[in-house]
Amino acid sequence: MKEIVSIENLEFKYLGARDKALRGIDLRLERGRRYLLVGASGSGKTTLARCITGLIPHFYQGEYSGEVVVDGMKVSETPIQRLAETVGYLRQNPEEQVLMTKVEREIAFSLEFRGLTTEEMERITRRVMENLGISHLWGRTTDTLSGGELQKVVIASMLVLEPKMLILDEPSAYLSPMAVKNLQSLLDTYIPGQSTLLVIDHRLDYWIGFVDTVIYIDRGVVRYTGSPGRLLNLLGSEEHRLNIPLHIRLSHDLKQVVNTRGVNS
Amino acid sequence: MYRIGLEAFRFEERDAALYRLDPRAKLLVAFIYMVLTILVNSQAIQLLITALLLATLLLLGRLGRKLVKNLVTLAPLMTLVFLANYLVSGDPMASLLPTQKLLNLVMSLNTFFLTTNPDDFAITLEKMGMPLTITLAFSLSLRFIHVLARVLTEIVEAQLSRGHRLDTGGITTRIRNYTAILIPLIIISVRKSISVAETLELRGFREGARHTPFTTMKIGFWDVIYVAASLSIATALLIYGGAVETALLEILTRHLEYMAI
Ligand SMILES: Nc1ncnc2c1ncn2[C@@H]1O[C@H](COP(=O)(O)OP(=O)(O)O)[C@@H](O)[C@H]1O
Ligand SMILES: [Mg+2]
Repeated sequence: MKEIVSIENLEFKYLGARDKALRGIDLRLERGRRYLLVGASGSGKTTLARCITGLIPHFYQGEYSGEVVVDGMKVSETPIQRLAETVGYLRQNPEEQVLMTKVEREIAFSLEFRGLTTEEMERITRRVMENLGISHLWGRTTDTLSGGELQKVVIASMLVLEPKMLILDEPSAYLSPMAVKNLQSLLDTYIPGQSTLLVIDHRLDYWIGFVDTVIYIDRGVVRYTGSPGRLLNLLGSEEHRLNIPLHIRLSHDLKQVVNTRGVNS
Repeated sequence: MYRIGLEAFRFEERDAALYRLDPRAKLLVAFIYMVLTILVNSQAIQLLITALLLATLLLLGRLGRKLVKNLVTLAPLMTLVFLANYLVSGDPMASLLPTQKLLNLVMSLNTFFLTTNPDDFAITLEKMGMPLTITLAFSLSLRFIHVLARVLTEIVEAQLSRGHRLDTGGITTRIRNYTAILIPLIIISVRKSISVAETLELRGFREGARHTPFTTMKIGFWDVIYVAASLSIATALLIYGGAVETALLEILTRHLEYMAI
């Protein structure tokens, strides 16, 4: 099985919402590749991540149709807890993802439900912290951490389960450009080659050199899937256009490209 | 003000003896002091209990500044208790006793809550047989007190900068002013609690799941000493209360006489 995620004709409407958040998504994510999911605010990026992690349909209710298969498991029939062992999901606000007071307990929390001994849990926790370069945070209180430190702690708390895939939802929203660079080198060195990475961000300029494939979503529909290079060509490849205004102009430009050339995958 | 108020009850990591003791030992001692405070009706002995608790908090917990904040926050409540009793009894000395008891109860609780991090508190409860769902609810609410305090500060600041005034105008205006603070607070709290629930799911938590806490707790030598010392003092005060009181009063009067001369 080459794909880790395969989505077929997925539609979802939140309970009480007027419009569908996702309208017929077809998407395949291959193992070991790095994807960037871009799209305007409200276009359904987070909703798509929730569909992969099982939060939809198990946690958020609504009208759900289509099929999402993750690592051979049908999401609609697999508990979130089981899916979490395969997909680690870093959500938009790290502060709301911290449950414990002490850093090491926070990181070990997922392990506490797996029937491991205290020694095994400690060994895994220490190893992951060492790998992420945060051993010095052992013993610290979670609410005294900086944004970057907190993010690493939350990433560590997912890595203890050795997930095959990692989803990061808008990490640049609460990180400085410098911290985004740090995050990338961390992902480069630590995330094993066979792991799949899905980064959700509207800052195309931050990630374009880092990912293999860009997915563009617009109002609940995937409009473009392809290499960043080709995307640059389509957008007119001038380097300067990649600077500051890009993330604002991105969806406008892409819409034009998609409309005039009718690109799809 | 509201921020200080909540901060005064929040756990903060510190390198002091009291912080290193086993939460169970600390909880037991807090309980011993509370029972003692409730049973003793002598003002002199209540004063002695205050002194003991102060010594514990200051020497073993190095909690000086925190304790001042804590007591300043509680001062209005203590004044209220005093005044209410004074209005009923008309005797200022006698009205002091309930206030002293309140003070000692608060300080007893402080020996536990100010020095025990919420995670350890949760494990303590779990060890005592409470289900994980409840212990997690405890530790998460303790942790979120400060998150909500910060949200509250932000909302108040935002509303003030938009020209909202909290305590001006008639009763209806005031109610409206407070709704402008309360509604966003409720919405944000609900959103945050949904987010926490999401996190619990994603981290593999399931109701009724088998759970092995990462942190183990061990009763050590100093825990035994701490409990034994507190227990002996409490027993002594309960049994020999009369004699201790006479002695204390004698010392006090002699001291006062000395000062008068
Ligand atoms: N919990 C929810 N309940 C109802 N509607 C929601 C919820 N979360 C998101 N939506 C709606 O679904 C659409 C897609 O939102 P989202 O996936 O968060 O977009 P993005 O992450 O791309 O900004 C938006 O119209 C949003 O208002
Ligand atoms: Mg989003």
